[in-house]
Amino acid sequence: METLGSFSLSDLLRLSRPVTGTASLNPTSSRPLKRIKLDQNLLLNPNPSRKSFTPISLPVLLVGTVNFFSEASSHHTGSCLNHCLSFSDSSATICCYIAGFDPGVIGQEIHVMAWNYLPIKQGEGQGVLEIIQWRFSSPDTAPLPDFSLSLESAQDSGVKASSFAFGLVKSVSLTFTLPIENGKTGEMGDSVGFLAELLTCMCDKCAKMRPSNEKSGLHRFTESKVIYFIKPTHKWRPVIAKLVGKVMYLWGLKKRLVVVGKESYVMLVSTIKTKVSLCDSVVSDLPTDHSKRGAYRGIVTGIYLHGAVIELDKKVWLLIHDTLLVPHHSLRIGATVSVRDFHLVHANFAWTKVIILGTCVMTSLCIDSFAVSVKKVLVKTEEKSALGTFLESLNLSAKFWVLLSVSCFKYKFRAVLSDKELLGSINNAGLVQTYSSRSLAPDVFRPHKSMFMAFCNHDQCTYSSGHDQTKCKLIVPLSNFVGRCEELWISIQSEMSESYEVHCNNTCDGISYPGYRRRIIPSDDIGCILMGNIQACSSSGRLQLVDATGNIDVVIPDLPSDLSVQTIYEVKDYEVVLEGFGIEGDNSMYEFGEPLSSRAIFKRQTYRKRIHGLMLYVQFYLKDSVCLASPSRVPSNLPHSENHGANHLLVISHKFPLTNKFPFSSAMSICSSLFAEALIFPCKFKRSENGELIQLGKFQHALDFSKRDHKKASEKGPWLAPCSLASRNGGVSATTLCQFNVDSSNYLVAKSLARILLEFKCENFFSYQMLRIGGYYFLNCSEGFNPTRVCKCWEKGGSFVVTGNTLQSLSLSFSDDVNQKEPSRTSSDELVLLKFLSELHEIVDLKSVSQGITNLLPPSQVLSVSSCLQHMFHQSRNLYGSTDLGAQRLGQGDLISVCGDVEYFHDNDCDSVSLTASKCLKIPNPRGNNICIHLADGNQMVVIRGNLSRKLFPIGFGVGASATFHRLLLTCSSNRKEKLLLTPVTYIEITSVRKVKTNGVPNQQMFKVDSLIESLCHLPPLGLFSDLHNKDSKVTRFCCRILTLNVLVLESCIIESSPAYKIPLAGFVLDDGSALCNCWTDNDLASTLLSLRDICSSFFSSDFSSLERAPKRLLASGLCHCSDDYSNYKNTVGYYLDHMLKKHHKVIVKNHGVSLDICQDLLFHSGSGKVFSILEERLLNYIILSSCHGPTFIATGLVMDASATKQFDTYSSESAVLRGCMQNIWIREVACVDPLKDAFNLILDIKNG
Amino acid sequence: MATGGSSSMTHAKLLAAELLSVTVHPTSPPSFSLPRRCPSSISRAEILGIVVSLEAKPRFFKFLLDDGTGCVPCILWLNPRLPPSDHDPTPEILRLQARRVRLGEQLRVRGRITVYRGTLQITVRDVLVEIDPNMETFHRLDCVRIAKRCYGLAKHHLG
Repeated sequence: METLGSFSLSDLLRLSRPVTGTASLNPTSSRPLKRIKLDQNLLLNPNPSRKSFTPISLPVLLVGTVNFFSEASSHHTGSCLNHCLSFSDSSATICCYIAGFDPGVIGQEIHVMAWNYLPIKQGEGQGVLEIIQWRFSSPDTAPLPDFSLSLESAQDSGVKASSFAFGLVKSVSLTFTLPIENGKTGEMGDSVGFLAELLTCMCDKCAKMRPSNEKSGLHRFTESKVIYFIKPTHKWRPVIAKLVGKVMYLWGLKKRLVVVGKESYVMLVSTIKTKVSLCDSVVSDLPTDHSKRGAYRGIVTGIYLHGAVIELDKKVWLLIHDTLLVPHHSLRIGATVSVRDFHLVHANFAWTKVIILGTCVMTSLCIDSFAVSVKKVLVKTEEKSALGTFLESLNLSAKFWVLLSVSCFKYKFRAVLSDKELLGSINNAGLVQTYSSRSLAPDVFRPHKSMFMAFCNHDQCTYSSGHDQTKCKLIVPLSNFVGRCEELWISIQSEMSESYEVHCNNTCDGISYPGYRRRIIPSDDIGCILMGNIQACSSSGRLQLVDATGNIDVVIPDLPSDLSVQTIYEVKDYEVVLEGFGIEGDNSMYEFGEPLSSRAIFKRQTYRKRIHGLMLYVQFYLKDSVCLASPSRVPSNLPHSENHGANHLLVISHKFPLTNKFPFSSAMSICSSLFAEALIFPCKFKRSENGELIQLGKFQHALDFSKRDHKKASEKGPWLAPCSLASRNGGVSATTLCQFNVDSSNYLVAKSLARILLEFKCENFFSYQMLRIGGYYFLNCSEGFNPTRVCKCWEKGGSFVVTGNTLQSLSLSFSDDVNQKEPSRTSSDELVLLKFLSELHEIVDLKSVSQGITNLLPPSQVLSVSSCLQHMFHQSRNLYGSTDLGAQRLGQGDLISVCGDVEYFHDNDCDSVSLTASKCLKIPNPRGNNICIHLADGNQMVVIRGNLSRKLFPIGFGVGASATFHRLLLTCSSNRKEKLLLTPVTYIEITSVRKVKTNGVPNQQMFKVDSLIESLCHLPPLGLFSDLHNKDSKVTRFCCRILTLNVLVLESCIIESSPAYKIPLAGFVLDDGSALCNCWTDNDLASTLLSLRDICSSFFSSDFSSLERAPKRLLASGLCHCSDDYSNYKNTVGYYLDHMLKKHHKVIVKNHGVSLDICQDLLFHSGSGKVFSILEERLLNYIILSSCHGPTFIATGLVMDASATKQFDTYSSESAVLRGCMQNIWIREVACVDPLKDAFNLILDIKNG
Repeated sequence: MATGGSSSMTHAKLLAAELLSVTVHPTSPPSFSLPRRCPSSISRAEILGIVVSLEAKPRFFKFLLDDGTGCVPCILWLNPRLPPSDHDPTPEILRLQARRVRLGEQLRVRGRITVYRGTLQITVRDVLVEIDPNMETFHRLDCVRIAKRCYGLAKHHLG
């Protein structure tokens, strides 16, 4: 017969590696034992990794005795005392944990048939034996029928202990230490023990008799009784804890008064004579009224935060109130555990729902089967810290949230904050605790109870079960947040494709462009709080919110100039913007694994941005955010003047955008720079060393001198002038060094402001982001403060490389109130410059100063769209010298700044047929994409065109963005059509982003409306033509359409201009649904009503089969010059009218028809008497027919009296005379209908009318 | 009161239900009137609705325009009433208009009110695509406004 190997525990300890062994799968089979020596050779794999149990190649078993640990054992830990038994043979004693525990094993020698051995500490000879299967060593030794525990040695002592108990073990506490007074000596000592709750029966037999050999089974265990097992019986805890649910007898108890704090309890306490035995014959279930604190059995799938949180079956979360509750040695991922008597809570957090099993003093937890993995999780049982005490004071869902927050904080700020700063110490609260206590609602705090009190009064347990609605939000690691946003984007794509949602295709000038999708998700819908530092990305230059896990681009409209990169901000109120074009291909290829799940947070799973083409950013206001941890450094309120102590005052005139050369790889970022342009004042500042105001001696001298002889004064060189600076920390004096010239009138004038370039290397991109156009700054001067020499910084074309503290924000005040000490702005890093210009006023002529300095400041005015249109309207009358961009590369015009809302933008240039054609043919444009941006405010819209690569769009740019465009070129094309163009230096500043309407229709202007229309909010009501005869002569708005044309007069211009024609008079018949009306107008409005600028593309497009030859025929007829570069104007009807009028000088079109439906009765008169060609007539017919089929518009006009209409008699046609009974109005303005606003207007009209 | 000369040529802004309820007078050609309106006689109308049915023929497009209050049959003739000449782009413009008539499109249609085999219809003069859905609300309100004003006038005259 094959023998079984047996070896000593000391062999096992010596091996010091995870080992597993088994004798036989059949525990009853009996084979002879052979003593062997365990060494490496017996292992199946002698050099395995220490990550798994190494099997022993032979059938082996262990022989030893299971018992309680002796008090003298050095292996004792808190966990061992609560959970472990000892296993010993003649050579050693180790911890053991038995799956499928039988109390009869205590004190017996057993054969361990299947086991795992796991060393606890390397080299210290400690380990744990996990006993999977065992049997008594002697086959004759059957389990004792009446198991009992007693301290044999003390049974004969003289202690009186006559009380007993009989009942069902309901719960067992952990062992604890209680300060207790010795009744005899009065000395205080520590008592180690544990509590067990028994449900006893109140039947007569149990109450009056000693229920020995009870067989009846008719007991009702309802009355709770607490037994206090004190030292030395406290070591029974591992066994008693496993008897939960079983009925037992206890003899040798003593009734005592136990005083805990201010409370006292009368209870049965164990003595050295106490004896415990099981009553197997009585079987009872635990009462069902405790079902809400039920039982759960599951596999451990995660152990986090040193055992404070355990995930079971990947779905429920076991919240451990005391880490001593879990058997430390055997609690590993993969083990099956049973939990009894917990509080079940369904927590609804703002971002997810979680099932929590909250343990308390009554909870018992045991390992049912051991894990295969040997990877241990460090379960810490530390001294209670301030955070631990704080956690105990919370209800279960709040506690879970705080634990999640601990994980998040550690994960996010591990690089910048130490554990002590984050978690605090024994006495001091850390950042997590202070943050949590501020964030949590008062109702989540529960009164604190000692363990003794909690166990004895458990019916009033302050932990509650059930559903818990909590508004707590996740302090999300940014990496997980990015993952979540991408997950949302994929789901949005899926939703859209499932619902067959039509993409937002937009049109511009009749051309349709594919739309893109934008979703703005408010923070409340995500349920997360963002936290991090605000920094600029060293590779992209973009502003980002950063933590240790990742980053996300941000748009902060109220970004201050003194933001610190070290400050941690908490952003609760924000909007996540997801935008991009639809994802092609299968969405299912993106698996994110629930980035916001508790598992991902505890496990610290990292996510990287994976979806290319998705623009993801967050916008928020800093005023709505909270500064959590300020940098410890004291903010310096003084200009940094390390060596020389000299500073320049400058004003930022422009920031240059990213260029096409800018790399988008972090590896290359060191070679790249960003630039800003600044104007440097002709003066230099120096702090006085003692901080006092410098005496005005030299200054006074200069003043007198300047009055006497300006020329000499100028030869004298620079002047020292005192000034004072005010900061939050008090006044600081400084000296200015001013440069002056003498002007023609012998006045001292300040030298003009020099233009310099500031260069920002990648490590200082943050400084670039902080810069504000129009803001004042101090700049450290490398040359120092030398009154005798002119600083090179003022030389034209100078440049500075900005480093860490080179620039300091400054609030410039022109006040001469020297008593002002406090800066007006609240910003701590800003200085207010006082008494500077006032002193200058004294030294030089006031007029010179105001003209010489203040006028040199860059134009900081940012135009609204309406003002811009007004500006364009005026500018269009002043012809620019060279304006035809088609013929000449360099455009001329003004650089202006415009702000407004981006209503719509698209890649193709809708203005230029030729460019559109090149797009269609996919001809690459070396300068980037042609982009057309529709910028609007409430009333008006302008179109900005130019070349801009999509990669260079600032964050947030797109439909719905409020943006300021700095340095747009306002120019005029050859047809006097004003244009706004993007230039390579145009800087786009995004101030906010709003939602995009999914069915958004661009706010197109069908007509070029001049900007004189009043605000739509105060629109006068619409009138009716049928009411005109009742009306007084006042300006009225009508909603109408053109029915037909009465008369049209076209004349060529004598002065060379573009267009080369004018419209002295145009008469239309308008129809508003109530009546018809003769309307008269001229020039621009007539051109608008005839849509002369808009109808070109359709007239010459191939839509008209019979007309497609028209351009060629026109070319052949000499009407058009053949040119390689068609400018926009050359493709308009206006262009052909120019040529037509060169031939005819004047054209009069009259409508003689009685019927108004068609224009068959149009008569054409030529001023030159020449005959109209067929094409000319066709063109005129086309213009008029098109205008008669035009859209509804709003015409604002004034009723004309008979005398006023008489002047048109020469032009009036017969039919018009026939219609002479109609009213006549003179049109002053034309606008397209804004259906929404005009509908509101109508509602008011109907309501009031 | 509005001028009688122009009223018959005005395109009355009407809802479909209103248009379909006009009184047809058996004159030649038939004339139409709206009760309690001033002027009550109409010959042309403007409606706005969605194309819900379309029959495209080489010579005409026949379609139904639904504005939520009813469906109005419309016919757009593709051949001009007079033979086209070289200088007349009318056929091309009519064809362009026909292209705008597509199922589901929101159209604003003007034309003469006619009767074909006892059914009212609009013989289309021009077709305009209205992209903005708010235009429907605006048109309805405009119809109400005009009706209210004209009704008020009629009441005044009656009174």
